[in-house]
Amino acid sequence: MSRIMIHIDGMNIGHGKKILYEKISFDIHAGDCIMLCGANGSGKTTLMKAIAGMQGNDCRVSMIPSRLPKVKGFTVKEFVKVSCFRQTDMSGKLTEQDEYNLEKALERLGIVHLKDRDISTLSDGEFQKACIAASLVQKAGVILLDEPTAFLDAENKTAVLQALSNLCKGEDSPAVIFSTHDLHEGMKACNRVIALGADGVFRLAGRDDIDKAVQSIFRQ
Amino acid sequence: MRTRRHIVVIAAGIFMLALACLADITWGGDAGRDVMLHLRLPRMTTALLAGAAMALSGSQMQSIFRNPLADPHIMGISSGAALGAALTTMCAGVTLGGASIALSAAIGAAGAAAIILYASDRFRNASILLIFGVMLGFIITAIVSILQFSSDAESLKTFYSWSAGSFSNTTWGETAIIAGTLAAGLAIATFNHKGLDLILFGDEFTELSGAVPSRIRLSALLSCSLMTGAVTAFCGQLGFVGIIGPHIAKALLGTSAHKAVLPASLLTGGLIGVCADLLSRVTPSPMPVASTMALLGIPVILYIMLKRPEL
Repeated sequence: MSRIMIHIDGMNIGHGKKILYEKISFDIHAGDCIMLCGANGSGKTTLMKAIAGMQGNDCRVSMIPSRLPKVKGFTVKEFVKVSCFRQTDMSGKLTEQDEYNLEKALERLGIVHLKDRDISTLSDGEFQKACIAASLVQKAGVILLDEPTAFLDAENKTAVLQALSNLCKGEDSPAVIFSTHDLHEGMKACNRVIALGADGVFRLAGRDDIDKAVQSIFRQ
Repeated sequence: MRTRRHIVVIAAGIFMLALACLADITWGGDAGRDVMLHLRLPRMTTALLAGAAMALSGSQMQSIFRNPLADPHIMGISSGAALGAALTTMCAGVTLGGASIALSAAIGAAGAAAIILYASDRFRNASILLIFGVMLGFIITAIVSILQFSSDAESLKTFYSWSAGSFSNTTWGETAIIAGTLAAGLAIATFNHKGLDLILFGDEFTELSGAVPSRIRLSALLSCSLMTGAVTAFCGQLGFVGIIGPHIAKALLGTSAHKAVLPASLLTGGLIGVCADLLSRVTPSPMPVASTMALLGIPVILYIMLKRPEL
């Protein structure tokens, strides 16, 4: 069994006093590619933020919020450095090792040729990959992506999900949790599913019962 | 590539700035040593420093409010500074030293900044926040006008010079105060530059990246209030340079990274300040600097608005 990146034990998910899901327990393993699905307002982002606030087992947890603006005036490399706020020195520079890791991360996601391009000129799919590269440079063992496929065209959707799926396959791979409404495409990319059901039940499914779990998010 | 472009742009900027400064002090023909030393030089230096300080303030505000049209003038912070300065002048008379006027102006600016900060929490929409800032400026200016009505002739003259904006009549001491606040403001901004970059991507992303949005905003507004306070106390409310200075810097450098934008804004702001001063002097009868700033600035702002239709 692969390494456990995060052990979640009896966590309550909700905002304020309202608890949506009580006493959730599960483990996230290295190489997991988990699709998080549920209706709007079912608590997908809340769950992600709760996990983002946790401490991993010897690893960082990084979250990419949905609809991040592609601010004009930053190259892909500069954007990654900006997002590595804690790792850069006072002048905003990365260490040589991190610079090397940055190059490797861009290669791994297949966007090394875009490294000096302004992010405002990237497609949404390419920008998502730049965000994922930033998480890798931050040595994140768990990467949470809030709706990475929202507003993407079909080609970009497939490209991003493929990238996520590949990311989880390699050696030394992180765990990925992504929320999405693109169930069909998402199911092909993931190996596990978290379904926040219409009946208010939290379900975590492995390879074999993904279909059943996904069905639970629809009102019967 | 980009580094070389930066060097060329900055060298050209410095050259143009030197030319403008030279033109500014030599315009009007030969002058005696006294005129040069006590009138023209302090005036040129004030224009340079005030323009730089306003542009530096503008670049920080554009980042923390994620609004390309934000600056201390349009968001009412200059008005707050004017109110602070006016209140002190009213209560203590015009005999008060420059430093205390600058301080009270900075406090007034910080008060307005606090209101804007509070409002920014309520109005998520950048355009609505901008309108709120303009309204705030109007209200505070109205209060200043009411104060004007009940003031004596001597303070009235000072009041007028604030509303019109002027680089003349500043002493070396006052110029030094502007320089001091500029240095302090620049130090804070430089310390904050990574945060200013990060917050452009939203508060949520800022928090997730390990920084504190409110701390970034407070630092930036402290820096802005200090500089706007000193500039407004001695030169009046200077508009537009805070908006266009950073834009020209970003357009020329081709980057939004504050490591480059902050120093470049000093240069463009200083250049605009000196050019506005020069323009106010070359006309047959001297024009108020606020008007020449508007003449220089508004076409650029309209251009920005046309290029960014989402505003």
